[in-house]
Amino acid sequence: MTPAYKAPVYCAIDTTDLAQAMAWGTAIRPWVGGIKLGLEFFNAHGPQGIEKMRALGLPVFADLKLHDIPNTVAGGIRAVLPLGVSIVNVHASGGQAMMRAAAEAAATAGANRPKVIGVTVLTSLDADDLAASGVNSTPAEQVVRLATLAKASGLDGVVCSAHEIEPLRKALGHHFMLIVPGIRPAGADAGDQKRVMTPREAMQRGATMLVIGRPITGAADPAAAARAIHDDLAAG
Amino acid sequence: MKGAIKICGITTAETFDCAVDAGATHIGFAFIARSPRHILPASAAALAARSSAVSTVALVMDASDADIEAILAAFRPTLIQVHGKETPERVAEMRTRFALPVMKAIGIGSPPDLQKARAYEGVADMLLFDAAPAELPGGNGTSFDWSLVAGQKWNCPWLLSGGLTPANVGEAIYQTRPDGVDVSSGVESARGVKDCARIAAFISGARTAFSGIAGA
Repeated sequence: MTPAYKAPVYCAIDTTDLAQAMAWGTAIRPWVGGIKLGLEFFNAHGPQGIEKMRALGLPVFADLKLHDIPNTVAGGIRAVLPLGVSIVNVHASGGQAMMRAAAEAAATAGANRPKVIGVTVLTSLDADDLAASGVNSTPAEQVVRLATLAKASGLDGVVCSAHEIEPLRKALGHHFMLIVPGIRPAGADAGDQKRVMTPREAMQRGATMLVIGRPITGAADPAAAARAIHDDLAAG
Repeated sequence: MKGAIKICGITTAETFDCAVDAGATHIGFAFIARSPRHILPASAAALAARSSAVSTVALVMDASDADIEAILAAFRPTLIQVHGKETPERVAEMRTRFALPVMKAIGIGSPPDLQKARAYEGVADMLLFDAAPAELPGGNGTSFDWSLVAGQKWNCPWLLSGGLTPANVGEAIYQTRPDGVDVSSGVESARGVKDCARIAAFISGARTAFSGIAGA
């Protein structure tokens, strides 16, 4: 069956195995809003791989995290436009000119243009890592700073962690997308994540969409796992 | 203005077309990022280009000037609908700055809310009365006590919103005598998913009731 409600959830499909990626995509197709394909998949299968996954009929988030001089990033964005992806991202630390170039390149696709999203501070970085690179702010401060720059540069939103939703909504308002990875469904094993937030909680706090990977693709029954998240969000 | 029918939160060409074909006078686009009906300005512009007969409404919430400028750069609506904590002063300022009419949405839960609404009379071009308080700015499917607004006179046109459905829109119009009605979740088959049959039924019910009160 195909439910009418489209959950605002992109499933992260991280594998070099195309058959596995297709199998996951096919199984979860009715229950997710899209799929996120990152460098592991892209570097193995390239644009042709994205085209094959697009054929499943799901929106695709091309998680390529572009970061280069403005002309190069603009060229990189223009090159993915024919693939019809819904979301593409760039590193906000690439600066305002780079982000503007990315947004302008995306805009050339008109009504079907992909949303351009900024990556702020990688979740693997702590205050010491930032200090070592010359950034004397906490990760939380740097996230708000880079997200503010991303918005001013014409990006459609940023990727952020669940506990950054509230400060970002406060700083940047309601006209900016917040895409939130690292969410665990209620009842799922928290694993090594200290701060756990359920999909519904994250949406209530102001997330625009969620990225959920292993809780779906690592489940014994990925379709059932995706469906449980879908049904929980549909009820909320 | 009598008999406005606004279908809010359209995101697809199919539902845009069926709303227009069924006789919607206004189509609302939600630019609020957390809405399940969120749409980008460029996509709204592409939808709006499908009909010149319908008025288009840009739904925003506590938007900065830069937020609104970013929308207007891609999409020029007939009307801006403000759904946050915008003050009367902010509404007045927006009308001047953007040279567009502004409709203020106000949550109605008790009589003091009507006093709040009075502060926008003579400032906003239109008012929209919705249920309060709400988790989302509109589209929550809850209605308020219609007797609160029944018999009230306003010096600008106003729309009734909040929990309207094809089944209750006629009764709501007879009870409150609004200048128009606004619906979002009441014409959906699932959260954020508009349904053409429900849109048509809603518009038909609203039109019948509007012609009923026109003669009264």
